[in-house]
Amino acid sequence: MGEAEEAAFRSEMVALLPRLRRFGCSLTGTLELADELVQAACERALQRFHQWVPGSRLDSWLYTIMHSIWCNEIRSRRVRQGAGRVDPDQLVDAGVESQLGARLTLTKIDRIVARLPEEQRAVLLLVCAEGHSYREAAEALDVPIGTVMSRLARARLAVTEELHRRPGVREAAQFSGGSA
Amino acid sequence: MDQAKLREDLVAYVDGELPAAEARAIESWLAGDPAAQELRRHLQEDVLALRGLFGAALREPVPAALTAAIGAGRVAPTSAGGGTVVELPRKARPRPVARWLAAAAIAGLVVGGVGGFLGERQQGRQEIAQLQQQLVQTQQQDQQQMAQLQQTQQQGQQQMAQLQLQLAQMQQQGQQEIAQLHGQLDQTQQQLAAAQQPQPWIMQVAQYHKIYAREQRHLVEVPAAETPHIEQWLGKRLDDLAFKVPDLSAFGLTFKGARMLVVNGAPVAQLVYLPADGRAVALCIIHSKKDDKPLTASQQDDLNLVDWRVKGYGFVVIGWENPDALRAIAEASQKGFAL
Repeated sequence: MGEAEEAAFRSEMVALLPRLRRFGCSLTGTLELADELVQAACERALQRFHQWVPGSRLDSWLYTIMHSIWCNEIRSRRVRQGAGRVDPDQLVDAGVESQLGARLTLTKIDRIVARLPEEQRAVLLLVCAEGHSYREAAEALDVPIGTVMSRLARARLAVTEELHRRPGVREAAQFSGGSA
Repeated sequence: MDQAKLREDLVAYVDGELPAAEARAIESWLAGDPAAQELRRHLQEDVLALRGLFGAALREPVPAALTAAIGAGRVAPTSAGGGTVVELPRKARPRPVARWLAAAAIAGLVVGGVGGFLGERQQGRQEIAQLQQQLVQTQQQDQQQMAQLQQTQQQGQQQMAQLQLQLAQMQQQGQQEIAQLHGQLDQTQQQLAAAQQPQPWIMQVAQYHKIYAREQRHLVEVPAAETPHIEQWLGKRLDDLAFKVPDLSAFGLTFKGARMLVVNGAPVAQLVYLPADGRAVALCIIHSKKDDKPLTASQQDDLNLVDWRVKGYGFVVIGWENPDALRAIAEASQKGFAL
């Protein structure tokens, strides 16, 4: 890769950073890990620059790389270190929460999405926020399109059921179903 | 077909992703079951709320060290310290962010961890040895981190204060936006309730336009700066329609960007323009099986519309411009499409 070519490629990746970090958060759960994942993926993209088809979506390609690094390298490392056992509620700093009082009362949908399995959340983000088609999401996550369809359906139905549940009416908790 | 499968397919139907054969089963379910109609309405509304939630994450400031590492290939932020962002020790609590950002990873990780637990002695010994090794490493890391902590404590405190202030502002902003979206959703709900049966697509698109035209920050999903992407993306969703975003600057209209809507299970491209002073004008395109139709003006409440169909595509221009002006805009818009 020539110098000018590399510079142009790097600046395209910088423009995508907010979206890459957001996708990273949906996978990893913290901004710190997301940043580590984004950086690793961008470095790998530079090494494999020749594999990228100019004109195709750079964001989708980077998502694929991020997903693969997360599944095959970072996540497995964290499992070995036992870093997985975290209560999501404790990740929100209690001191800050009490200081900010009512303003920190997180909205309902935020909590609902937080409780989704990471794979469902990643599909939800790609399709609902990034405007990926089911096929594009399947390619980015390297899973069959049927898996995208069922993960997305579970996530969307869970969100909708929780959001519109009438007070006093208990419906089957589809959340606890785990990832597809 | 069982209820669970129907519910799953309904999600794909709402996204315009369900093959025609399955779509028929969904349509007959929708026609005969008010609960199904209600579920469809909720699914459509909740996409807006989800976009609001995920959109907030894009406003998280990107650390300067990360931008530098990617943009110029400088030293990684984890080993540098030259960046403007102070690196907190690894063991510090994760920064408080929106809960969905902070939650993930857990379900899969815990399951993976438990699955790896086997009672075999040999493996147990290896694990103990590994753990001891890790313990030594962790102790070394802890000592390093303590030294680092003392150095950066003061900076860290300042930064925490800043972050707390930033967080409070972001939270407030986010809640206002979500409350706004909910208000809009209530209105949409009323409008949709008044028309539970599928309507002509242009009437639904006009309803969407009324809602989106009020948006300042979320006027479009993909901004005009990404016009080539818009043309590629929406063209693909419209059954490979080759098109260029029409230039309507002769009418004082600036292209602001686009979004995709879904009406009756089919994707609709919405291109949004703004006049120098006034409310948004939208050009919407849908794939349609109906016959060609010349430019036809109509009205819906205070909105004016001009629609037409050419070779399997339906078009409508929507706005608060007067009918003559809108017709001229529609005529000019036709030039962007090689049909």
